[in-house]
Amino acid sequence: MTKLLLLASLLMPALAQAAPTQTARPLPARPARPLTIGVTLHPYYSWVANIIAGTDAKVVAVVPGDVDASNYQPRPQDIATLAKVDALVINGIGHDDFIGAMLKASGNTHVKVIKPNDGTPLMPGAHGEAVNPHTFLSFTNAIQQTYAIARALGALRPELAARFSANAHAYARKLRKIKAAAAAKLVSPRVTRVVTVHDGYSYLLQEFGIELAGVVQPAHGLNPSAGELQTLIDLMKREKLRVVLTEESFPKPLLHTLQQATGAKVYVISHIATGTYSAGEFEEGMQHNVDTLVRALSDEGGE
Amino acid sequence: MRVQTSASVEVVELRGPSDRGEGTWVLRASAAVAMLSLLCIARVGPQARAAPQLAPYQVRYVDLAPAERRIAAELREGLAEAERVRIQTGAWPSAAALAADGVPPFAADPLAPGLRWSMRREGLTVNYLGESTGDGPAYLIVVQEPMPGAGDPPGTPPDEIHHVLPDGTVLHVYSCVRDRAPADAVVTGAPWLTGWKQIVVETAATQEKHR
Repeated sequence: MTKLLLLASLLMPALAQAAPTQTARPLPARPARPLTIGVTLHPYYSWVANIIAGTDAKVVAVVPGDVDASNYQPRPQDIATLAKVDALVINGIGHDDFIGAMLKASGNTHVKVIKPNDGTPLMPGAHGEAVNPHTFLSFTNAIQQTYAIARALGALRPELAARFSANAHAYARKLRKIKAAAAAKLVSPRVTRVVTVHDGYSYLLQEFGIELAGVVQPAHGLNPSAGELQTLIDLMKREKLRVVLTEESFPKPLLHTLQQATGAKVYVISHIATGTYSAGEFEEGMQHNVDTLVRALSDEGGE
Repeated sequence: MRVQTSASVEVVELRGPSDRGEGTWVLRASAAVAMLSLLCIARVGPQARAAPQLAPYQVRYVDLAPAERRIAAELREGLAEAERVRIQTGAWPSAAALAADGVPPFAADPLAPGLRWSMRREGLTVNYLGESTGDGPAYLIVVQEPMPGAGDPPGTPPDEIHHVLPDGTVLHVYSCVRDRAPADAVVTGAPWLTGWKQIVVETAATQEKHR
């Protein structure tokens, strides 16, 4: 027995040298806890949920699901949520301006803020604003921003980077399929110019070669004055604009006035700003939007 | 004014500031407020937001025709996908491979059926070229890999031209447009020398840089 122990003690260093990959390389430090990623907007929740699928990372929404971020007032419990995130995906160009003060109030100094709009071509707003912040309402932007988020998260968790990248690719393929199917139906639409109630659709309309001829709301969430509505009615009559894309929250009486004065048909689309957060919410919302666009531009249905 | 009435009593007449003196102070304060306002407007107004002047060989993304802008946005999506493959495999995918995966703008596009895409490679330069079968514009992505042992220094920050791969490789990337594609060889680091216009994009990051 003593001889065996002696032999083993003599052989151990040699064995260790023969298998350097197992002993010489230090094991990567395992993070103390799973990555927690906060998001400010519904689309970002869906994108991140798809990127991290199958890993121990988790995504949390900072804003309650039933509140549009543009009308949001920070709550103490949301600031508490923010204090626990490792990364935070923000719009950063006007759709979540509340987040800077919230982040400061949370005392979270280690958070990695991810700004997917840092690599997105920006377009101006319909009323002369320097930037239209609704870049997320676009298939091509969603795909590029999903990749940007996946890269940023991969830098935080290098051991998960390949998984994040593969998941982002799978998600990109899903979104492209929806877009390609809609594009095939919009090759020669009967309608090529539309009016929208909300100035959130420039990026989406551009992807299908549709021109935005006018926007009803003078600013995000504001209803037009009588004068502003009349100006739009004049434009619609002059330019023979027959399609209005509205949202559920827009007051029906104003819409009714617009319809009666112009004879336009109204279709409801969504800028995916409220509802239950889920991995599939963005896909489902965009599928609904392109289905509605196809009907509207083919001059079918509508109210 | 002080009036001496007796040895022990001093009468002091209190007078408000003269109308003229008060008016002067109001004018001075108004001028100061106006100057401060002008300074603030100059700081955050259109000039502060304006992008730098363009060179003759550049065109702003927002100034492109809507159909061109649509393709220009897709150039970025296609490049992101090509870079993903490059990171995974070390090689640039062909335009045909990207098209087979449904990646815009390489995949068949019912809204731009006249565009034909190809990938050309010469040394460290890769081109993705979209040629129009009709009179439409042509599009080009130029990617330059660094020469071994040369190139940008480590830690170069990523921007619109410098794309940094996870292994630290810094690529030089340009997206370009021109009226018609010439039958040129591979376009290298200066596409504008052969008539291409570089598409200049304003992003949140470039806006931050300009402030």
